[in-house]
Amino acid sequence: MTDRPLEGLGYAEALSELEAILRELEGSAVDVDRLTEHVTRARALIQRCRERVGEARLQIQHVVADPSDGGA
Amino acid sequence: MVGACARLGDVSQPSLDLDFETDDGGLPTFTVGELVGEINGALRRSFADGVWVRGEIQGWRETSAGHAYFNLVEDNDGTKATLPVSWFTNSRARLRPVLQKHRLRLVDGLKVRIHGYLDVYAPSGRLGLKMSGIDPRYTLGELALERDDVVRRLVAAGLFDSNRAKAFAVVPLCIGVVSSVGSAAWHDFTHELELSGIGFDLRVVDVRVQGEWAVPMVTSAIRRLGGISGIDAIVVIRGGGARSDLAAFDAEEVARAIAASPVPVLTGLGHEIDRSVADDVAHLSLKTPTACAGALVDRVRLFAERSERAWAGVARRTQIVVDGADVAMDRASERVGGAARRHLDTAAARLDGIEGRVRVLDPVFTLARGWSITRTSSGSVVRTVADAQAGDLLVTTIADGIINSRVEDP
Repeated sequence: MTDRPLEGLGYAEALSELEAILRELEGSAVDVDRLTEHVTRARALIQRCRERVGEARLQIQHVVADPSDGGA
Repeated sequence: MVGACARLGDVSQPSLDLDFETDDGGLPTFTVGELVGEINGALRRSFADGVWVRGEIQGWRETSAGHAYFNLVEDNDGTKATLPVSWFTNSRARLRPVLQKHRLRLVDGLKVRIHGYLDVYAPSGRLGLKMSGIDPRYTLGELALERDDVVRRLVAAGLFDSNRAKAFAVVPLCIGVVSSVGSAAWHDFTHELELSGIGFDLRVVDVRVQGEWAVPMVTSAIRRLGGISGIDAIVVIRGGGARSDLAAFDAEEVARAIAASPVPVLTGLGHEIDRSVADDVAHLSLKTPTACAGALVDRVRLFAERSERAWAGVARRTQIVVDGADVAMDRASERVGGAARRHLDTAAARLDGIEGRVRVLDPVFTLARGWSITRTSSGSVVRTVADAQAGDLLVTTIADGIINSRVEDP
């Protein structure tokens, strides 16, 4: 299965995929051949989630500072 | 008259030689002029102090020289009596202050009690009265009596308060105007409205406000304006003048038209002292056209001020609500921000945990700690001893590269 592009991937979707990869990695039947690509994908997903969290933190700071702006 | 003629013993009698004798009984014979002179002499002697006579003025006319002529008429149920009256310039000038003091002007229809001297005017042979005085209280009394009669009839018909019962528009902007357009009253009225800066919409009917056409024209104008949809009020205005000139506004027809008007009627008839019947039955009676306009302006301004105050109140109350909402929103915003930050902190911590778990599973780190992965020459991972036979070529991956080896004794 081809991985979905990270661009445009939401936090919840990324986290959901990350949890699935973790479950597979931490299971006993992990395929060593796929270990590297799983870990690589997991790292990319973690990075994507960190970006989304960072963006959300900035937006919230903005909105809370000036409610009339509506965050736009 | 006989007595007067009897004293004419020395009047000449021409003697003619005729075939018959005229039995004149010894009476003297006059020329017309002599006779008129005798009659006037007799009138002066009989009415040495002049005479007072009352009646209604009709046929009023004035000459360029300033003399006035009219008939004094008494009409009792069809029995009419008429006396021609001459009122010469000098007498008019003498009586003018008296009339002005009582704000009277002699016009047709006015009931008067006048003083004068009887006289036969020789060229026409007409008996007349040379007017020399007037009793203004009589005229004022007559006007008041007529006025009272009209008021009594209006009250009896239930019309006296009719117009006052009509609701006056809160914002009277569309105004019907009954006036003599171009008169001072008209200019005063419109000027006052213009000064206000308020956009009044005027529907004007040009009328005569005195004279014989005044009553039918004013009556018709009020009725016509009352029939126009959207008119908020009707104003009836005229400038100042003699009390007797107000006669049209004491007329019952005008009063009835005002009473029947579907919208309030305001009067501004230009009199500081006198009130007409029209004033009495009007919704609102002002002394002058300017005051009439002022009343309309004041009413519109009153509404505007009340509206402004109401809006100010609404704005104040709204501000209080908005201020309260602001405070509430500030608090809510703090809570939202705090909650969001906590969620983000939790998410970040969770990602940290996941990253740690991924790191543990990453073969790069596992190999770095000294672990290796051994595959056969076909590439399959060697998991047990049985996966390798003597002589097999094995490929071992370690952290920094690959080692090829051959199995001697598995």
